[in-house]
Amino acid sequence: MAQEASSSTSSKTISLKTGDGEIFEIEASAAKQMKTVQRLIDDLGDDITIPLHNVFSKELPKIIEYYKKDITGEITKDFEAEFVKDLNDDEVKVLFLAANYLDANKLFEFLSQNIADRLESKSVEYVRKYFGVENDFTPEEESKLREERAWSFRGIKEDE
Amino acid sequence: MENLPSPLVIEILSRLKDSTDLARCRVVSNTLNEASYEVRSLTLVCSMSRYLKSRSPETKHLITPFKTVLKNLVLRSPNLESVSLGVDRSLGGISFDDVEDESDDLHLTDFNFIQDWLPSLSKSIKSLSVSDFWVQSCWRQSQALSLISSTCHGLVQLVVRNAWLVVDGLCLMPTLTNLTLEFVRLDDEDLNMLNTCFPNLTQLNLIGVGGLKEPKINLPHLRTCQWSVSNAPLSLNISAPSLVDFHLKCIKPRLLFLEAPSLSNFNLSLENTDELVLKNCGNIQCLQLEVECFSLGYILSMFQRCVAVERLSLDFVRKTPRVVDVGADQVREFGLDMLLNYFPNIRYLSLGSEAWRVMESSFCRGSLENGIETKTLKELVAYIVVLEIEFTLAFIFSVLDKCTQLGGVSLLIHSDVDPCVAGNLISACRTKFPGVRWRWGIWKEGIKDTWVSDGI
Repeated sequence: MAQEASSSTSSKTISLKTGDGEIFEIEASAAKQMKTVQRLIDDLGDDITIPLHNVFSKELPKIIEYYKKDITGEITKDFEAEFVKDLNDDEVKVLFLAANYLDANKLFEFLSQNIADRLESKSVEYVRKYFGVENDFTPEEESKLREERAWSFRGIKEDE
Repeated sequence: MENLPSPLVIEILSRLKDSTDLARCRVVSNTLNEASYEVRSLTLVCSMSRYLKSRSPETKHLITPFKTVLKNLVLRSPNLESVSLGVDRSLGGISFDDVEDESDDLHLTDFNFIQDWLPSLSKSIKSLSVSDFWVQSCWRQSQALSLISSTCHGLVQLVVRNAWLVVDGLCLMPTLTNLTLEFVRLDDEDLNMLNTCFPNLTQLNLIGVGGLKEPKINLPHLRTCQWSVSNAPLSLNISAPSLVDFHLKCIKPRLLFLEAPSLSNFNLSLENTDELVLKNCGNIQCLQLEVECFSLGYILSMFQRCVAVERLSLDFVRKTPRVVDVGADQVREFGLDMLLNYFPNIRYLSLGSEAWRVMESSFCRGSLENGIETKTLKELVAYIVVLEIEFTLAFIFSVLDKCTQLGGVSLLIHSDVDPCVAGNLISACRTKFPGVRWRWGIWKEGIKDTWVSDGI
């Protein structure tokens, strides 16, 4: 077997360590898609285990799964639908934040669209819970806003 | 539960497909309210149910006019980069008989309406899409283009549907690269103003654009173009040195002139023409032709300098229902040799059902000489109807005998063909040519093709 050139990334793997101490392997070409990881590799070298303090063992495998498919060009609408099918809204939010931290553009775009789709026709109270925001309007302010936007309050889905 | 930082909230809010959801989000909290004004895109569609409610005496007083909603949303979001407004496609089905009033509440290309909100976005807007309500717009000339061109200094993409547009007062729009006009009457007979004022277009879609007489597309940076036109224009003229991908659907123009030295993918649907001129089109690699059977000889002869064609799809425009037209067959003889003569380098050939039918009957009448072998053709796809299984098999075998390097044959059999007949056809083919990579499928007009891997 010929010796691999040091610049070849075709079969090299990178080790990633999550915030809760677990280690996962990822192909170098997939790591390239996560700009944060790539920056760390450029700074620390690719032989070292890259520490990811803000990503945890619950979500990293899912992210790795996505990019495994991405490097083989197999990401289809069907795959993406399946990918998020069994995730609840909070799980998607966690993945979304991780994608943001990792600067993983493709996954970030996909998940932000998925969250937007999940919020379609949901009530104000649901959106409040989802974004984790407090209602900081006074009752008078809120009722005025609702009145101005009465047209948008029809056809709301029941909260789950 | 982690809170999402503002920039991430904006990313999500920007992707809400309907700005009704966005408006509701503004009531969630002050933070979201403020974040929402940073949103870069706005989409507002008038649904059929909203339209009906606005007309019904019981509910019309409850409905805020669509134009008012849009104006308010825009005026509060000064950073909008993309605005898309329109009526749902279902409203396209409403006819004049259904409408009793002459109101213009949904005339979205109305100059005065657009003037109320577009200028506030003049610096930020990059993409604008307006799908107008045909019943209200088709009889009202709109000066919208002049307003858009004089107001939007950085517009990159413009889409207008279902409108009547004049070009008076149209200004230069050097940043516009993508233009789509669909079901629009455009008072720019020869497209002079379009060429002059949108010189940097890279993508142009003219689908069902009326009002044209002798249109000429003359755009130096155009790369992709889709043009679907009725039989009204007398001639069609396209001169585009950077054009790579071109779809043209027309009927019987007297003259069709095309000069496109970079053209690689050409999809042409044309019944006939008195004069077809292809100048410097020698780089076409992928050609799709849908023509009238009788015009085939003439049209193919105009392509004779296109020796770079590697992929060819051919079908005949079907003017009568799918019935064996004996008269037509007696006049038209057509075989593989004719195609290979004009396109000696094709590696991939796809034949539509009419083309196959004519070729098969020409072969079976024995009226064509069996030419020499060819080694270039590697893959064949055909849509077939099996009328007489012996004829079909004989024809298929003759093609395989002639094209010695033909390794992959994909046949889609019409769904009306008896499954037993289809089954016999498949096993006969497999037995006689076991080395060929056979693929089988089913086709029917108006329905997506189905591929079946093993038998039917």
